Amino acid sequence: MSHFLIVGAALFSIGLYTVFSRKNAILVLIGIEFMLNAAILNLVAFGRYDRIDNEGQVFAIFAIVLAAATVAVALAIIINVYKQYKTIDPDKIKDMKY
Amino acid sequence: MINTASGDSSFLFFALASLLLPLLSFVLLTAFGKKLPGKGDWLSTGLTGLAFLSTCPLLAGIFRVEGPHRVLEYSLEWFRIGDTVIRANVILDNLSVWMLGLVTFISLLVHIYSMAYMKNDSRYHRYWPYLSLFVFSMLGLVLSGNLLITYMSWELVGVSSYLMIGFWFERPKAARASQKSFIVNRVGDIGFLVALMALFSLAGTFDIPGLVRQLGLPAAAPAEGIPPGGLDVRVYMAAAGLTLAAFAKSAQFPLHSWLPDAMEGPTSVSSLIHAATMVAAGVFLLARLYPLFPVEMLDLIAVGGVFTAFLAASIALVQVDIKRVLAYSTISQLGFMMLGIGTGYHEAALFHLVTHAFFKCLLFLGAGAVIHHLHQLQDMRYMGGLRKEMPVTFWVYSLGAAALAGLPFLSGFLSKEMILLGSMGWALDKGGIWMIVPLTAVLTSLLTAWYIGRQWSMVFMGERRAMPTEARVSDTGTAGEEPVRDTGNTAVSHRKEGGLKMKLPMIILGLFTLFVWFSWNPFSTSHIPLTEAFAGQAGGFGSKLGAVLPAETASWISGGLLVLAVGGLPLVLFLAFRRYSRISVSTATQPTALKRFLFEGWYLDTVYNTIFVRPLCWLANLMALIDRTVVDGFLHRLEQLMRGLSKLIAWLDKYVVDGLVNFIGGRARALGDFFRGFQTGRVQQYMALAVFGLLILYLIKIVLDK
Repeated sequence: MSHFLIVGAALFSIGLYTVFSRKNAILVLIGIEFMLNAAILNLVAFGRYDRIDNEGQVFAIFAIVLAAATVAVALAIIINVYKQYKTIDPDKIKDMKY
Repeated sequence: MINTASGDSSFLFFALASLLLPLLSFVLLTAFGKKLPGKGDWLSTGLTGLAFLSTCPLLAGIFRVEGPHRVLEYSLEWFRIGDTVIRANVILDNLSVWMLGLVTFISLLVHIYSMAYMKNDSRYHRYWPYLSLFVFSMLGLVLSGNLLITYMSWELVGVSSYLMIGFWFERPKAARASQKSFIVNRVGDIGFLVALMALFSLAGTFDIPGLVRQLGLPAAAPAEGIPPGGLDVRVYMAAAGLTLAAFAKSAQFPLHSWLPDAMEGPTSVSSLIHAATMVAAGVFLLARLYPLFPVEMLDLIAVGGVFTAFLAASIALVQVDIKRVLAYSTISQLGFMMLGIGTGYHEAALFHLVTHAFFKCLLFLGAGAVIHHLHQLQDMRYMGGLRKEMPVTFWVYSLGAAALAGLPFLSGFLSKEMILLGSMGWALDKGGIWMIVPLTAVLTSLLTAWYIGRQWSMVFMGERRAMPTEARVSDTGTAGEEPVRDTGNTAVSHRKEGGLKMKLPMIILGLFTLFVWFSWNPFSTSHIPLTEAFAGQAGGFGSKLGAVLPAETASWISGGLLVLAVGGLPLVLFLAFRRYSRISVSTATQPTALKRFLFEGWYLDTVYNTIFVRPLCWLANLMALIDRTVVDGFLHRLEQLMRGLSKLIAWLDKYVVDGLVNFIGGRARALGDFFRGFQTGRVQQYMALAVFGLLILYLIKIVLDK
């Protein structure tokens, strides 16, 4: 059990680091997916405590579907950002303030 | 005797028509005068003519020589103060109807004359509305049955005369003359105002018939009307105020000095002022309110009148300006009218007003024709021999001059004899020192003959005296070395006598100087229809005189006056003719002390300047000085104080109040700036902050849970 959680935590940390450090919005997106999948792994892992309804697994599948949807939206946003700024480096897009 | 009717609105219609037509003309000409053909002269003359025509039915319907006299009163509520109703009244009686006819008739003639006389003036279009306004104001004064309206008209007359005298306002003399006339008349207006207040406080009404009914002293025996303990002092105040007003308007001493200066106006206007509109107003007012005057005040009027008559006649003896002679002559004749009123024969005064209106208007129109003919030359020293050049003017002028002198067979004789006879009766009744009054009047009428004979001889007789070219600033010492000119319109280059428009009015007026219009008997004054109509009582003048003077005395005096008129006056005229018809320019201008004294009008203007004008100017300057130093000084101090105070407050405001507000604002801003530093706009940083924040929250939670 704890192995799963360790892998999940590692995945989450890697994802977090990727989100913070990458200079490419697509790689940031991949980092987010890492973190999401770490959470999904946790859901599946904790799913063993509910053998009858398998709510962990069901919830994980919902989350995966939602993740696919968010990726589609996020990619669309990135394309639009690129059209606007001719770059996808998050450091160079500074308009999101006050 | 007097029946008061209030029906018969057709009379009212005609009266209002004759009143309002000149007003209509004034309004129309003020608005459109410049654009109308002939600048509206025909319109103005036509409307005045219509006004005259509409007085004809009034004269036919109301004017009655024999009693019962008709007095029609029309009244309309004007306004109301508390319980007091002020009515706008129109009175139509013998006096007002006759004056209406006279004023419109003379005005019509002057209008016709002016069309020729003013032809080339640059402000021709302005002349006509002023003239119409003048006529309107005088008619309002004549018709009014309410002292308030009389007062309004009185002021309007003053305003129009101001406008007219200052018609050529670009000349400083004319501008000053118009101001002088206005200011001197203000003195009289104050008297009028005082009289109005006194009368209102006595009777509570402004209606003239009401006032006369309530306050009138019985004419036959004034003494009986006086209650024990004497009259109310307000009666005297009212009478004195009215006298002052009349003396100012009718140019009596000491308020006469505006009239000679008023000669700066156009001559046609002078003729209107002197005949019908302006100076007659004072006499008319006194005659209208005659019953309100106590005996003492009447005596004062008589003495004032006779003194003015003498004063003005003596000044007229030496004047060299053709118009100034006539101006002083008017003052003198008005003095005679005042004498008539003061001695109790207001009908004689009114009769003289009427005859004087005709011959003085004629004389002024004649003088105007002479001035016109000589290219605006007014100085008689450079005239002479004009009888050949302008025969018509010469003949009518002779008629007017003879009427003024009081020769028999002319109207002037009748009216002047009447006044003299009346004053004789009055003086004999009073006895003693009062005899000076009629004797002065007789002397004055001799002086009248002298000055008018002098003028007539200098203008029309002898040969033309050439104007010395370099001698204009001569050694004479007499003022007026510069030949006086009635400038304004530049010289017109025609040498023939004025056209029909100038001759016709003079000829008509010349006809009216004859005796036949007023009495069938050229020597007797006892039965003159006009005076009987004015007297408002049977018998008129004759019976009134008979009450104080035995018949044989009266006939003696009357005979004496007649002898004087037949023998004395022609003699004086002849002497004047001998002396002046061939006089040379240098003799005419030779100064003597007496001549100089008279020429300067007894130095009265100088005296007035010293007594009133200078101290007033001095006072004004003193006041100005006080204003500048004390009042302005105080204000300046106050201002400095206020400025210092406001500087202090400004400092406080700036550094304390604003400082506090700015401090708070600055802190808030610094805080905001601090937090703004976090907002870099970079997504990853936001994320990092969110995560660390979450971590910190967890840490806090963990610490708290322990």
